Amino acid sequence: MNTPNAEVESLLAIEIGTIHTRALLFDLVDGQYRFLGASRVPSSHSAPFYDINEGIFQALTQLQEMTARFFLENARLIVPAREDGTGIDSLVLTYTAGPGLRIAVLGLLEDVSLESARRLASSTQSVLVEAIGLNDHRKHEMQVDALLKAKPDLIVIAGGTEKGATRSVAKVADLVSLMLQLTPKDHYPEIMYVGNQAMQKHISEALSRYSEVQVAPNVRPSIDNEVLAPAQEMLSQTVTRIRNRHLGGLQAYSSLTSTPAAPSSHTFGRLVRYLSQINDNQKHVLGVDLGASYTTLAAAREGKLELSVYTAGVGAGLERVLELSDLQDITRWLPYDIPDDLVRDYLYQKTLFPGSVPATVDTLAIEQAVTRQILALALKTHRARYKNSLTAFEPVIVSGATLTQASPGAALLMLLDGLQPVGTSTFVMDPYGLATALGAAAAVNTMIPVQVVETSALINLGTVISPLSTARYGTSIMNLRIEYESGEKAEHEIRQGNLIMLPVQPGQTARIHLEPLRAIEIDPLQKSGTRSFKVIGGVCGTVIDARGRPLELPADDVRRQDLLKKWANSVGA
Amino acid sequence: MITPVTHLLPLTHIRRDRMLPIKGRILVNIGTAVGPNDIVAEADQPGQHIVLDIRRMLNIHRIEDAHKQIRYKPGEKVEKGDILAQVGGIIPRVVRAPADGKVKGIYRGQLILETPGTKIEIFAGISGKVTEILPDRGLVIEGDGALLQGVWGNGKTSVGMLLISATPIEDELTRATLDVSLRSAVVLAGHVTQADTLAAAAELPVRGLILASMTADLIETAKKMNYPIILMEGFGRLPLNAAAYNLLTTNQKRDIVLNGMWDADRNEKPDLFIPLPAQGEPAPDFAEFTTGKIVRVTVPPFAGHAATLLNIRPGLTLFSNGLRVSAADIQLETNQIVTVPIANLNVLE
Repeated sequence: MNTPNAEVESLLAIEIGTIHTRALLFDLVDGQYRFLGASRVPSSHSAPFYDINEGIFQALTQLQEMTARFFLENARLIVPAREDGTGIDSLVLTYTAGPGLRIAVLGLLEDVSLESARRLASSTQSVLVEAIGLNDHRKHEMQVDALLKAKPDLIVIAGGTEKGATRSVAKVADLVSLMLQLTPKDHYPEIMYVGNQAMQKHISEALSRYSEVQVAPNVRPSIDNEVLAPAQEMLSQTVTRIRNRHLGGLQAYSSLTSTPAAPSSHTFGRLVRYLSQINDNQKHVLGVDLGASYTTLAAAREGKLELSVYTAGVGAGLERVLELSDLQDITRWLPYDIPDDLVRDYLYQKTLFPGSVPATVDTLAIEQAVTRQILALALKTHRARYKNSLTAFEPVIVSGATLTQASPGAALLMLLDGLQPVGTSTFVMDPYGLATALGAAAAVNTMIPVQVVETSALINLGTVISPLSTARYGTSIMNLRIEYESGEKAEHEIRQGNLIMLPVQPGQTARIHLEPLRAIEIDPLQKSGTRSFKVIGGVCGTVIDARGRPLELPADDVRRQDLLKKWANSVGA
Repeated sequence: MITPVTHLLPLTHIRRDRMLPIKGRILVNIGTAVGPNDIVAEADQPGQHIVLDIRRMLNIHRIEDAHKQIRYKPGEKVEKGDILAQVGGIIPRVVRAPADGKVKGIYRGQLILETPGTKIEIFAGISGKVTEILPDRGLVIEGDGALLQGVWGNGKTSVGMLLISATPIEDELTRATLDVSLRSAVVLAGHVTQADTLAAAAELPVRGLILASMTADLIETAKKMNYPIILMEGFGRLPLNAAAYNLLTTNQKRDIVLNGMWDADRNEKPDLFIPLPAQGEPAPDFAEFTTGKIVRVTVPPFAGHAATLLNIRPGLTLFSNGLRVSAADIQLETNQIVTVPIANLNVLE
């Protein structure tokens, strides 16, 4: 591995996705880091290649043609860059390709260490195959058999606060030791210990004869305190070590990359955490990455990250969405009638051809409907997992082709319908899928994400103000006055149920003054007297979403469809 | 741009790995000729485990002392009632095996007994010759014949004579159109929309169904059927592409091997293999989108239609729904020329 270098100039990021392999180039231009270009080709990790190299080679060849820069010599990457300008100074690699890791978690108390271990496991692409805590009343041998049957790739052991339980932790270690004794040598899972640090030595001695034991700081140093970040860093490295065995060709890049290859969700989370540290705000920065197989939600405030990866997406991940949802949860977002069987058939067909794109008005409507359901499901699960009332975000960073390839108005409406934020939120689109690359680049040079996010590589969709009111539909709830930079002013009467796009040009600032006519909550995290906002226009201007929370759609199909069309027209979708 | 191909090959040479999920026994040798239903490898799936705390049961203080009283070593078989450990004294105490099994381990004064599990059997799945053995793990079989890849399978495999349903291929297969002449055959038909049709096929019984398509609400029912079902185009009421239809009809009444097992994560497809007494050449697994290639449209509109690729459009093309993506002009079998996103095309070779 090349060492991280603050003096690095050009940086190449490679992302091995489930469907596509992408190569992204960043470099210094006039002393500032800029995003220079990206290429995208089909991934080659699965049949017929079973090796990531073919996809990487194609992606780099395409990027060379696009940027007139040369990175390859005899089909090999030139790292570091040479004096003649060929090659690149630094390489980072992220991946989502491959099936979810099978993770078993063991801990003590259900709502404490076991829950933290679950959250840790869910911060990467994984399937939770078994969870065993003190309250698990199965017989000892049944627990052993359950672990054997689960065939985990990774076992995470948590439990015991610092200076807390040791005997119970030792019992957990005994259980795992017994399971490992019964496991064929070539099927030993990786072991991560994230419990009471006083038990580190005991755990290592008991289990290291079978598998190397990775030890990270306690995820639950005290009952009320959860610290996941160091364990998440270790989890990322452990996942990569396991992926090295599954993803053909990945291992070979370990000597070329400036920082270890990492799961995309991990670097996406890192960028969101980083933005929360430089964001002077009480709200969570929210990142949404909607992929073909997985959806990642990353919420961070003051550097504390909540990261969740869901096995739900707009490709193969649709199968899970359809399992978890009534079809009606999806079809209710269609602005006109499409028979249920056509919707179901299309969505299942999409699981077979996850790289396909909607080529008709109907299929686009279906994909945009299911996107709303995926966003809603992901946020609902995230809230349940982190037991918070995460509703106010600033800003919201959005990645994923289904969202970024849609028109700005359609993308914004999908996000508002799916996430249903309250208060003020700015939505920022990542059309080139830079977020994961920038998160990886941050480990090499922190100036790269700082400077690139300030460029036009990210698109500001606009600020959305979503006031809460219990007023009946159609009742006037506030008057709004907007003052533009030019001195022009305009006034609007806002009624409950309105979705209004105010024409603030991209980059233009304006001040919005709100005069409530009834009891309304304009922003849950702002002082109650806050009635005035400075906004910067996005491609959708500035939007007032007074439709209420939760959004309620009329039961009558005709009224519902009319309303959906009206909302779409309101934001130019 | 390089893309994986979907195979529709009148004659090719194929190579198939047959791997055990755990260590086991290989039942064939290099050069053995196998048929699709031959079992070529087997392994013993572990049964349940019973942990017997010998130390506690015999009231022994030291772990080492408990181990000394255990009469069996790991790997040894025991029968129900066998004395596993014993201590003497005025009233001798014994621990007997609660079930038949094998001593799997002795750990901290505990004996772990593994009861017999189920046997895993690996079928050849194709007709051919064994060309490689991976000791304890699996083998490779190679054969020659026609190969057609589908897009979805219900996880089952079988072999039987290929017959074509009298129902026109563009029509729905129903209980009424599954006549007795199709008994014990692998049946090629259009699409299925009713669970009753799948049940009727099981009752007949058929050896397998090759369908152009099936509505997605039948997925769970199809998985429960005891015969293989392979979809060539996917979900809905999609037509069978003409190239596949022509290839299958020319092989009517020949034995066909249906492999409904597939792995979406690895882009491995279910397939149909018709063994032929001729020598084929291995076909490339990938191709480039170039003019003249036979392609298939995967999603609406025109899903399931085969076409000839005329040209790839430069830059991005705007579609009626507002999406801008890379696209190609293709000529359908009806001679109609249409523009579709490249992402929605598969090369058929």
